[in-house]
Amino acid sequence: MLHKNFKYLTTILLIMFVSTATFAEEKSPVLEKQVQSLKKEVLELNKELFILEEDLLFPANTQFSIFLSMDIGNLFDLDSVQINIDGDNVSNHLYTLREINALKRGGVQKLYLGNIASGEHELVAFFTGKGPSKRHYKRGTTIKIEKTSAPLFVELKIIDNLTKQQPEFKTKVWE
Amino acid sequence: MIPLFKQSIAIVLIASVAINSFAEERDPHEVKDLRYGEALYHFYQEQYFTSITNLMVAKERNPITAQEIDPELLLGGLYLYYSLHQDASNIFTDLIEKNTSEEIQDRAWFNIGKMRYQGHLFNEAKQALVKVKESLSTEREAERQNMLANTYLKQKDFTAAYESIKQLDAHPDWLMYAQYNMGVSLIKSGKNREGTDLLNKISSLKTDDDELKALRDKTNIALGYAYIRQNLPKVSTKYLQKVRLKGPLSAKALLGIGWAYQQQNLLEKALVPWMELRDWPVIDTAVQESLLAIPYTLEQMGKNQLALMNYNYAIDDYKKELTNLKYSIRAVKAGELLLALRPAIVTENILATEYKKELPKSISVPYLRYLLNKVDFQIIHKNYLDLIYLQKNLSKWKQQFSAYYLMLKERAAYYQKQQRSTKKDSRLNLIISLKNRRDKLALKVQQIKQQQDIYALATEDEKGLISNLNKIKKSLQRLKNKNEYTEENEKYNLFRGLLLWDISTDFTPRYWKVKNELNQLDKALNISTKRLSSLKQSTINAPLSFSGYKKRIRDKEKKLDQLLKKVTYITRSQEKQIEKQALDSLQQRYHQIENYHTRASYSLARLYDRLTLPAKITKTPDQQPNIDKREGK
Repeated sequence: MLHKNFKYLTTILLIMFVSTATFAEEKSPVLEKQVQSLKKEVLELNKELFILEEDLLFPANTQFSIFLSMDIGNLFDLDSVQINIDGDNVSNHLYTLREINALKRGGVQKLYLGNIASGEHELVAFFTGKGPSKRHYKRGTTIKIEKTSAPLFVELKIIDNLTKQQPEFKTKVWE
Repeated sequence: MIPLFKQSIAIVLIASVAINSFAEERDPHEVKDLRYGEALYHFYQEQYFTSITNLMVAKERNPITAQEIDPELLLGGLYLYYSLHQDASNIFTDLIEKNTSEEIQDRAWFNIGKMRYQGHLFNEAKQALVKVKESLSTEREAERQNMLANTYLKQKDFTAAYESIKQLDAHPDWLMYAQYNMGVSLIKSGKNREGTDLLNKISSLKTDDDELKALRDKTNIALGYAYIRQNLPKVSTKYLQKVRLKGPLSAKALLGIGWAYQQQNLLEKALVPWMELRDWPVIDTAVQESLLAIPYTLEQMGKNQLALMNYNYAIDDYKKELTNLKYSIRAVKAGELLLALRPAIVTENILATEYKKELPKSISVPYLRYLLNKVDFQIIHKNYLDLIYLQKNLSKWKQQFSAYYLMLKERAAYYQKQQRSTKKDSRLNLIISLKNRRDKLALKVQQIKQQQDIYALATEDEKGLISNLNKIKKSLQRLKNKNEYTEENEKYNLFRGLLLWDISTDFTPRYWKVKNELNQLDKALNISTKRLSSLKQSTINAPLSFSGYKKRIRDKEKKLDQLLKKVTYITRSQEKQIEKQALDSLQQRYHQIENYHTRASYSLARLYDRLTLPAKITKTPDQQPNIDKREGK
């Protein structure tokens, strides 16, 4: 559909430039250039503020992030995820169709960003949704993690096990 | 529901084509870097601002290398979305210069070509697009050929354009649009036969697709008016009658049919479609034109009374329309259009939501439909929406600063409090005495081992027994000359021997037990030492969590304040630009109707004169309504 729309756009563009002699020669007006330059400045500042906030709120020595990804994701319709760290509930997320599609296409969601002390911790994730037979499905996965002075990244992966025709929930600690 | 800008939906497409081409070709992705995966997650949800932020932050902190050039391609596409052509161009050029694979080079050239094409730099676009070799997907290749064809048309190189169009045979949709473009271009260049031949291929297209139906209508209008200009009204009617009766071009088709009959001097027949248009909304320019064409034709037919009546109708309708336009102009000046265009909810994918919603409720909007559909207006409007979002984003950051300062203050206060109580804490010195005691113990254990000092590892009971045996020994020594204690002496030696046997045989396990306990002590001391060291390090590091940030935060706040002022100023300029374009468009319409009104009034006066003073009237050269029969007027 999109490419059709685009063709329509090109048609319109063409109609306009064949019917308006000066249209194609028109240079980018000053205001448009100002807008472009301003956008770049805002994007740059936004990036700097993002880094500042992360440094300030989540310093590397305590920073802990949890990500969620899906590999195919056909055997499990994810509804929600709950994250507990050392028995405390730190995150709950209910998924929209748009988010599920983004995950299925290879996007990785940052599910949690927080701070934890150095040492050993227990992370428990509960996944709720519908399994292969479209029946209610709740699974949990537990991982022991060791927090050092470096930022810690844990990826929760929902993987389709095609041999068993069952979803699998795995974890990976990123260096 | 009429979606806003339904006719062209241009800007959403301008903005998204580059990144969508990226998404189509790269889906699904194998994510080897979480940061890239996160950028994709937002990108797929059309949250382009977050996506570009993720990529820019990653690039600044530690560039993503595990995904090869994917992050760069995505970032390039996102720069294009935000119209940052120079940054996008830098990325794509860099990819080309890095001597990457042919596939990457092709994609980079394709994007550069498309970017230049969108910037109306057609010659430069062609130079980039011809560098693409053979690795593009079939869909992208069709798009490339279409762009190439259009750049050739721009240069009136019809042979080259036709060669590109021939490459689109496998893509009927692209082919139709390309043929239309070329057909119209040929006709405008005076090559009527070649142009009409191409347009004829679309004229009778059978399709259920609404967009293609719209293209077919456009084609038939183009052909119909082209034949009117060539004085071939019968042929013209054939095409104009193919236009759907309920569609955006139906009024123009009816008007054209009238003119085609008029050209054949079939005046009564000409009146039929025009009279039909009389009941249509006067806002349509084709209807406005027909209002004047009716009395003019009636006058030609000699039906002067009817002509007088219809001139009066036309004058009334034009007056009403002029009044409506006056209200609209006043409303635009009062900011009503901007209010209608300003989104009620400012979200990250503001563009997508804005272009899906209905036309804004504004009295000027119905008159501005043509303007709203213009690509250059949509660029201004997209910039406006971008600015509104950026302004909101900056304001959100602005609100954070007070929390940051408070956080720093609290951290500093907490640190000082902790430091005071830590200094007082005697437990911090305990570790040193514990270590000394441990060292002494370790030395003793070492000596026991070296000297095989079995008594040192005796139990308390054994030590008691040894003590008792020593006392007995002393007593026996005092009685050593008395033979009657020989048995006691033997018993003493036996007990002492048994005790020494027990202790000495158990020496090794006892030694290892002690050694093991010493190791455990070492571990415990080690942990305590580490904690102490960590505490000392934290004491050193803690001030970094507040002292270094103050200046950083202040600098950013200053920069943000400057940018906020700038955004506000440029947003206002953008609003003025929107208002100016709207007012220009409304004024143009106003003058056009004013012109019709003047002509109708003049014709009415002239006809009255002719009817009342028949002998004196001579036909003026400007009798015919100056109807422009060119398509698109």
